[in-house]
Amino acid sequence: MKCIHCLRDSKKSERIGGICPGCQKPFAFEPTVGQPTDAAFKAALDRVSGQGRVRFTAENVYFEMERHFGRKPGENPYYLAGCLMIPIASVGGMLALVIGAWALLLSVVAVILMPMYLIARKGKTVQLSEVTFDTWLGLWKGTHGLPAGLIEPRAALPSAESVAAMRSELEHYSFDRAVICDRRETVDLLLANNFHFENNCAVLSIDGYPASVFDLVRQMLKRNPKLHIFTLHDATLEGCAMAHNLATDPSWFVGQGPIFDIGLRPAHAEAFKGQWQEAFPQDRAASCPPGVTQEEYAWLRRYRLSLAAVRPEQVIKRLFRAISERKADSVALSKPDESTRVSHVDVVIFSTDASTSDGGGDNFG
Amino acid sequence: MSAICGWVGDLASPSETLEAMLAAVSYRGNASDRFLGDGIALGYRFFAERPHRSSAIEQGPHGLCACAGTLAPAQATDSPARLLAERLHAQSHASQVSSALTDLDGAFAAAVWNASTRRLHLIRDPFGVRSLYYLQARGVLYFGSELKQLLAIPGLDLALDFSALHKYLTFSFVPGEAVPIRGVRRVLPGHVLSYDPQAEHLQVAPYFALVEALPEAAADDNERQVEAVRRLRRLGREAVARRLSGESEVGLYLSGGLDSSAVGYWLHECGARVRTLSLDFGEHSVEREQAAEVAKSLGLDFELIRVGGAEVGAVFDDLVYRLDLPFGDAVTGPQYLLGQAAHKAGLQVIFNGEGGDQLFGGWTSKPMIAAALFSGIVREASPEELCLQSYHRFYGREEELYTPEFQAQLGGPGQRRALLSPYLGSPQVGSFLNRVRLADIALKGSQNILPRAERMCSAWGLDIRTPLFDRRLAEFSFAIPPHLKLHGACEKYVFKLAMQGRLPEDIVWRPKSGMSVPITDWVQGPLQPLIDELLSPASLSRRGLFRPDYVERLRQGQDEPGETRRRRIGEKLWALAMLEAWLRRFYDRRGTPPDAPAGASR
Repeated sequence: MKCIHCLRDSKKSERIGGICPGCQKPFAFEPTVGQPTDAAFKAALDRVSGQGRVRFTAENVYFEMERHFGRKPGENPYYLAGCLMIPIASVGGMLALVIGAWALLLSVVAVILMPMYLIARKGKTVQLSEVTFDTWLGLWKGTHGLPAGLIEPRAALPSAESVAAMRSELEHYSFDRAVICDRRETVDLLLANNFHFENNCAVLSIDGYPASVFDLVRQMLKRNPKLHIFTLHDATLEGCAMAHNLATDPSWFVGQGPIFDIGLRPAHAEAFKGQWQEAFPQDRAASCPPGVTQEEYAWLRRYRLSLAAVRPEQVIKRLFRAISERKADSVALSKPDESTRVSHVDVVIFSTDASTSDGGGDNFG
Repeated sequence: MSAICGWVGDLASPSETLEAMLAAVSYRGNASDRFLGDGIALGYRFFAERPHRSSAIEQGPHGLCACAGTLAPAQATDSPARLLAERLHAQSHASQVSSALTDLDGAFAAAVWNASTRRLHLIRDPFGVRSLYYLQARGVLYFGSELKQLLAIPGLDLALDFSALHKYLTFSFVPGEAVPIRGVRRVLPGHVLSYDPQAEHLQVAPYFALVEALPEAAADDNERQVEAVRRLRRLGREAVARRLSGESEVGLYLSGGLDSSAVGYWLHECGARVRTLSLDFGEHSVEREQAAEVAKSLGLDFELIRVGGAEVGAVFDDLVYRLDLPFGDAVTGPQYLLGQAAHKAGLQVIFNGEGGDQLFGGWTSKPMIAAALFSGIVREASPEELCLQSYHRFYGREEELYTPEFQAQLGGPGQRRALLSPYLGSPQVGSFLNRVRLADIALKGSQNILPRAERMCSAWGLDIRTPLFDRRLAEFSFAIPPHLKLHGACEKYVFKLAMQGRLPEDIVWRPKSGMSVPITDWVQGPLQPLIDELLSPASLSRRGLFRPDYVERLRQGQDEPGETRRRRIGEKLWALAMLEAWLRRFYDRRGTPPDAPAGASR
């Protein structure tokens, strides 16, 4: 295993106490016990951070590791059993000719193994357990420190008082656009990468985050009847219904809009096969909410896809492109007294091609 | 147009030095005047036939005065130098001088020598249209309108100021008092420098500062808005009228946006004969049609000037020379070519609409508000840091771009933030929006937009008039509620209301689009050979400032992973190329002129 500090390659017998024999610095992992190499984990951090220039969440790293270190088909017992299907069936056939028809039972076993093999080979859902990943991340932090660019939840958020002094002034202003997310982690991702600053954009979660400015920002958003609204969410029942809910909830954007749903929706999922997760238990039993098609509903009852499966760089670029396209579309004047338009939800569908990517992460949009 | 120079102190070869300083700006006039006395020298280069400006160095019983430029109102005096000399003859200290200048406006740089107190005062106009540099060396204080005049002083040793280069790479212009040549400093806009040669004591003080004076909360906000609109219309018209001095025809750089269109309206209202010039970037043009629409609606002559990368490349050396300092915004090339077209059209005076954004709230206000609101949620960033990021050059990329040798010479931390702190934390301006406006006026407006526009006009013997950077108009902009500038998401709201019904509706209410120079297409197209030469590994290695691998990535069209705007690649490459070209011209060759480009005869 190569040391990430001195690049010396060493055998396990040389790594006494998990220390590099070259530079005497510790390794975080030991690949012979089922862990990745330090170099592989660092490579994943480099990829997810765009070589250290984009900030990211731990969940982003999880999916990056999943893309490259999730259990391979060869490590799946069903796959291994399935691989024996053809020899077992062949042996059963030959033995049947020699010792009798009962040997055909072996062929029956092989037929039973076939669907298991096919399912295992397909590998739609994640294989790497979150517990395992958390252990790995903890080992990495303990050995090499906090990865540069990793967004960690803040212990104490700013209090509402910190903006209170400016409130009476700021409440007169508004934004050109807003991005509403289903999860706080997505808000953090955009804020940490300065998306709000670069794009003159409010960023909120639908459940009231960040609390210190949530009410003020929503009040400010009401002051722009021409606000462009973008939604960004996981492919879940709740996430996919969010744009519709925003358009119809009086506390949000009734009479404002339009709302553009960036995703993720089931239509985006194909490119991310292998990154899907089982649907939440409540989604399996839920009825189809408004804003979700029957086709989507059928998928969302079985699976979900986290936005964190998409590399942060791609999320930012896709969102920026959507904003630019809407800006170009907009021929409206900024005259403030122009009548507002009826809200609607425009689902942004974009093509993906998993076959040309390393798991779909680079093909979001 | 026009320039001054001189020194206080004793020189071994005064005539030779004064002639060298005047010759360095020969394109700033067809006539010159000079005074050589006991420990004092003044030089003045000017166009002899132009009205309402000094026709000589003012020499009176109380002292001397050389003044480049014009005062506003222009009609008030035929000799700005005389007016200044009369006002300042009794003053000795900078603070006393400041109190004598409280109502002064215009575009000027002046040197006043008080013979009785034996003190020199250097004064720069309130917003920095005109520049004024100084240098203390071997017991002498030298000064000049351009850096190249100081570089022409015989025997002067040159060394680079790496801290000033560092600031350029953040802002895309050189902010503050220091310039990239060590020891040379600038009088800041709205400041006066007083120098006592006997004590070799130098004092700098402001005579103009914008102070927020908001009205008490009124019961009827609508009434206050109506009054603000009425005052803005009157002040805007007066600002234009004060800068007209009986010219038979004036030029107007018309972008098609609100600001230059408003100036066009007021010029028309004042009865001036106006010829408008607009840039045409071909298929990349953003506001070409809107400019034509405004000219047509006001009945003004209209001309489109086609500008492409090849045309800019052909004049690049002369452009760098005329700019005098490195200005890293690619708008300078088109501005140079506009000046050339105006000169060919026989114009001598050019109006523009610069200042509308700075005074009434464009561009940076909304991002800064967004940043202030969300500050501390996942990252801490001071308003100064955010403001530095908004310049979109190399802030935060120093480790990747700078060589270790360059990094070692930058000086202490916080220098760039310190440039912004007086404005973003101004005790005299309480509202957040106006603090951002103040920083924008003081830095981007006064140290970038105005001086570069003046130099691009002076390159062609044109006199620049920037009526929106008017003292009364600026003071008015700090006396109206900030929400009349940014109203919801509508920028320059009060300005739009003021021009409603006077300009076509879509010109008034269309969101700002900016000039959008297609610089990335240019640096990856017709300007590529120029960029390749200036930023080649060999060139970078010779200069020793930048890491070739980072620059090479940019040349290959690769920007930061999170960077979403393609234009940033061109902006960054242009800024680096401009700096290298500037270093060759002003450091390696001491500001000597290049061979004249084709068609550059003036």
